Amino acid sequence: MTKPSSPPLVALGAAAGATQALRRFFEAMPDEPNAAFVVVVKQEAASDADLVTALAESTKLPVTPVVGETHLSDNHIYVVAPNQDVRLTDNTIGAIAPKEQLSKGAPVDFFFRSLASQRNDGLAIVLTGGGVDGAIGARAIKEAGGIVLVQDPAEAEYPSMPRNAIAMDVADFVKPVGELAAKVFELVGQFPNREIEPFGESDEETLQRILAHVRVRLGHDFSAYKRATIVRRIARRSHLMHQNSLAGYYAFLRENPEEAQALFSDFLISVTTFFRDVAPFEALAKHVIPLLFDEQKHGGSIRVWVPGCATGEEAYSIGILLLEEANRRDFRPEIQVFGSDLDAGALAVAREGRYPASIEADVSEERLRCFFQREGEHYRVSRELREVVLLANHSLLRDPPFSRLNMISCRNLLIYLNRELQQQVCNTFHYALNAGGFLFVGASESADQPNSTFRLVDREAKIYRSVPASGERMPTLPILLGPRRKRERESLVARHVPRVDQANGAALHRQMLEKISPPSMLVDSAHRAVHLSENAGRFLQMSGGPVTSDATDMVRPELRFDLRTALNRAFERGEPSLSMPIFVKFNDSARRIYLQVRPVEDGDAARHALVFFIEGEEVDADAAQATGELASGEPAVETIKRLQEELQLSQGRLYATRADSEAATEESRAANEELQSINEEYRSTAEELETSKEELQSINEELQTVNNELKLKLESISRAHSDLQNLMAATDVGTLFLDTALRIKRFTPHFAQIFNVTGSDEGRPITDFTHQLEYDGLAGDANRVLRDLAPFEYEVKSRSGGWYLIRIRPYRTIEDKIDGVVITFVDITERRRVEEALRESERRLKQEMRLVEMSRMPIFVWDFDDGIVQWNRGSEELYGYSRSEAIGKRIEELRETTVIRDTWENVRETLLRTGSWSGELIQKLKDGRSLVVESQLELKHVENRRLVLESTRDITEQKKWEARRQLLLDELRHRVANTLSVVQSMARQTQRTTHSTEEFVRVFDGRLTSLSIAHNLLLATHWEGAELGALARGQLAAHLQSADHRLRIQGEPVQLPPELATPFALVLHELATNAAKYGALSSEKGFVSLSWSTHKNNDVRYLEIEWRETDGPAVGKPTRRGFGGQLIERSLPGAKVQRMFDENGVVCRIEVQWQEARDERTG
Amino acid sequence: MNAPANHAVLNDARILIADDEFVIASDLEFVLQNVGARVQIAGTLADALTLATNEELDAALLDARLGSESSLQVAEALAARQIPFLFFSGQLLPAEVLARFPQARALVKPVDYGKLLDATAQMVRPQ
Repeated sequence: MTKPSSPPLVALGAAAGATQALRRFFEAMPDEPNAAFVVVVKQEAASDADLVTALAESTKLPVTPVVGETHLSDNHIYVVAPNQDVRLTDNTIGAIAPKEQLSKGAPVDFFFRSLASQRNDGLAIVLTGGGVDGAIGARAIKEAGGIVLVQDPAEAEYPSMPRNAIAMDVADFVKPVGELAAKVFELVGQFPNREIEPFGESDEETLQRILAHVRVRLGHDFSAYKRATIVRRIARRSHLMHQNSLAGYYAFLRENPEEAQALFSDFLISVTTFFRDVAPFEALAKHVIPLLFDEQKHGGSIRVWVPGCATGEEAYSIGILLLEEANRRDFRPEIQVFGSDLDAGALAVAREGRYPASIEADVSEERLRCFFQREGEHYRVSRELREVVLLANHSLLRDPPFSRLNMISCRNLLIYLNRELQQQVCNTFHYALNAGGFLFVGASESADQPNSTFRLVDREAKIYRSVPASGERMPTLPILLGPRRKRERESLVARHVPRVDQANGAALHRQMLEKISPPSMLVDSAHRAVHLSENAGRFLQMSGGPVTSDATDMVRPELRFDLRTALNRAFERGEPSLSMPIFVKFNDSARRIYLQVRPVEDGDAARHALVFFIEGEEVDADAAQATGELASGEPAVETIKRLQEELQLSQGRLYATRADSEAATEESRAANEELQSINEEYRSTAEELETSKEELQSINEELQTVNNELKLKLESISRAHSDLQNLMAATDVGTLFLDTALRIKRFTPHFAQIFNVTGSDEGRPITDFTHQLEYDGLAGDANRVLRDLAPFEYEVKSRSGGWYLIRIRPYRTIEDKIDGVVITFVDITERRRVEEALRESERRLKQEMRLVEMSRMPIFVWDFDDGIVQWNRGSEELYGYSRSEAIGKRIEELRETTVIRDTWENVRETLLRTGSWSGELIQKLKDGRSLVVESQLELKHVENRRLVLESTRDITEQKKWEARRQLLLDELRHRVANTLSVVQSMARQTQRTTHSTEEFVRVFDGRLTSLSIAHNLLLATHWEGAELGALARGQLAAHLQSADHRLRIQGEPVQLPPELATPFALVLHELATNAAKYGALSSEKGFVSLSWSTHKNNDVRYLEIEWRETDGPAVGKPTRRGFGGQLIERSLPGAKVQRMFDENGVVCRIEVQWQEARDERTG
Repeated sequence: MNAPANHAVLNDARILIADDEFVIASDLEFVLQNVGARVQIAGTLADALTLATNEELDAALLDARLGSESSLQVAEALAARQIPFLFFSGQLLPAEVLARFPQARALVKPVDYGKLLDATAQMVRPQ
């Protein structure tokens, strides 16, 4: 298949992330790889121009976009537009017009398959991408003998495509992109040595050794497989293992035990798809399946065997057809499809029943809907279908077959086998099938066999029907290969014994019939002798050459011409015929023989003919001779007669043939017309498709946009997801998500500190777990929240002394469905503590406030811009306004305030400027009185308010006292000055009237003492006055000591005002001094009487005082009027003083206006 | 006590002394008599008023208070008759009193007699 001129072809398939991966691939690729690269991308992310540009930047190789038909050459990169299907034809790739696109969105698969169909040395590389594209194509490549390389999914940006390719079990190499490039370079470098030509004798021997090795190691014999396939697969493996010769590979195989398995797997690679080749399957569904059901009308089961089912697609396809038929009918026989294969790996895939979404290309939408379930990028076969199909590891060649089957579907398996083996397999099938069972083989296969065990039913679809074995011969189990052959045969023989017994009566009957009936031979439509009667032997005479079963060659030569004529007549016209007598020379005699040929109606077509040899009378030799002689005369007539008959026959045949031909011509003309009209239809369809293509392109554009949007969405979702993860990890709030059955769905790390849970506990009921809280109602509360849908909050103490706020809310999905509850645990230990402290401080503040409120000290607060805010008890008491009257009123409204030596406005201004003011104010009370207060004002800014704290002190009394003190001071000053003045004057006066210093001192001292005594008396009464009696006794005390019995003081108590008291004291002093010096007191017998009385005259009170001396020495009027005398007579203001010097003694009478001073007088 | 030359104007001058302290008044009387003045003493408000209203006077020396009463009435009477006078007192006189009688001098007790004589002479014969 490979053209020598074709360069090695490397097909690269990728989807999402393609640009990056491809760039890296070509960057790592050496300069001269000597291969052509075709890049197929299933994606919309980058336009082809972008990809072309991007690749051109990363490689020196020329990069060419594929447009139309492009011839491939070495060291070029061909970039196919995204999602464009391209097909490889010879060495040219051609873009397929959109209307013919068949890939259904799997361009990589499509191209890989195209490559596989054209070349057996393709290299396919599956790179990054989402989805499953490329997997099936890679399998095809490998099946064709190519090599499959896959990017390491761990490295791929989108690992889905590589993973699916690997899951197909087709990857020869799984490597990072960079290493893939190196590997490709290496593989391509060995390209010229790909073909190993095992035609040498030694190579043939080596090949056998290799197969023997595989057989010994794995128990499977491939020696009977088609040589070309085997050689190609071995060549592929040795290429991969860098072995340039078969001998080298054999050595490698022996050294590496695992290589045998790898080679085995390679031998088994096959491509299979659902409903591979549509028409044959349709024919099967239309003509065969209904028959199978018809046969089972009366119960029984339909059994179908699919040998070599590989990954199961064929088996499931048959299953689908059967189930569809069953659904169409109203009865349902038991259906059993056996799928068998050697390859356990492939069977595992089949058992899984999970196929890439690209099977959409093969399976109709309706079937997908009925028999598959979508699972993301895959479809899984439905349960119904899966139950119908039974899969088994089974070797068609080695193991005994399934039996009593209604149908066998074995497509594309026989082609791998050589002729001999094909024959054997057909025998096996014939054995396994019931009589009339169907065999369904691949398009390039056939079940035609010399012994004709199968009859072709549909040439196009390759459907055969088992022909019952001729005669009584029971079908025998064909020879099986492999070690278990013997045992299998024994068991099978045992199984068939009873069937032979059953047939005995019929055989006896048939033998009897044969004995009495004429010798006969059964001939089939190919003129082959199928069966002979016992006594037919004498009519036979084999001709020379190869042994054949052809009836005309078997009979005696004399009979051959007539037999052929009769058989033709029988098969072509269905007419029985009886021949003219034929002379046949037997050993001893010649006899006249008649041939009777009768077509046998056997089912739908007359496919057999029965030949009777009827023996006529004996012709003696002579007669024969005579006849022979006669024949020399007669022969002409007889020959002419026969020739005429033959001519007639030929003419008839010719006529029929012509008629047939005319009919055929007519038919072909009609067909031609039909084709023309179909062509028209195709053309209009093509136009429609063109329009559709444009529509699709615009839809594609839209999809690209949508895809980009989705990508952005996805990014934002994943970012949101990671945000959420981080939030969960970072949050100090324990959060728990429960489902409606209170099983844990999710929780934050912090939650694990409260409840004894770990990550593996998700899904378990929350009630299973112990926790740190003094709270047992969680489940109940959560259930209540679920019932009422009302959030719930609760503060709970933990056993370690902390506090948590538990908040339970219903969990609402985005669709507003309740799907459990969210419980958060907020650590409020600190908050509780602060709250407690706050409460305490508030309580204390209140107490303190209360103290202030209760204080007798007037304290109140008013808003600088508004009314009074606080008003305590002291304020109430002082101002007379109750709290309710005061609060809210402006301070200026409430009480009139006068500032001493200033204005209230200035006070406010000072307050604003300095923040405080203190001073004295005169404030009016509620009752109208004015008070002098000392006021302290403080301005405080509290939350945008300007508050003034004012405390006042009533200083009215203090002021009064201050005034009084000032008065006293003034008085004192006046009095002292006065007194000093008096003393000054008295000193001078005394000095003027005394003659010596001693006298001065004595007199002055006496007067000063007198003054001082008077002052003392006045001081005792706060200078309000002096009692006359006390004053007199004080002045006279010195004299009384010695002569108290000579002195009598008598009078009512009289209070003298101060201005009288002092001079009166001096007057008494002078009188006493004079009396002591000259008068009554100067002698022992003298007697003094001081008396006074008051009387009233014209509302004026008068005080009359009398000083009377008696019994003293006689006194005369003084000669000189001294200071003492002047004092006595003049010093009492407003007083009338009368002094008489009698014989008895001095008498002094003083009358003075007097009023008892009670009011506060000051001097 | 020695009368300076300018005290000669007091010779025969008629002087009223209104003081409720007889000791002081008599002392002043002596001093003034010493320089030849004719002195009258009043110890009560009534006496002082009588004298100030009726007597021919050249000058008057007034204690601010007489007994328990102010001597303002006397001052008024003197001022009305345009008799010069001076206050002598144990205390500073209130400002309003001084403002009322701007021509009257005020001397504070105890008084230096020289100054008192000077002031009295000044009143009797202003220079």
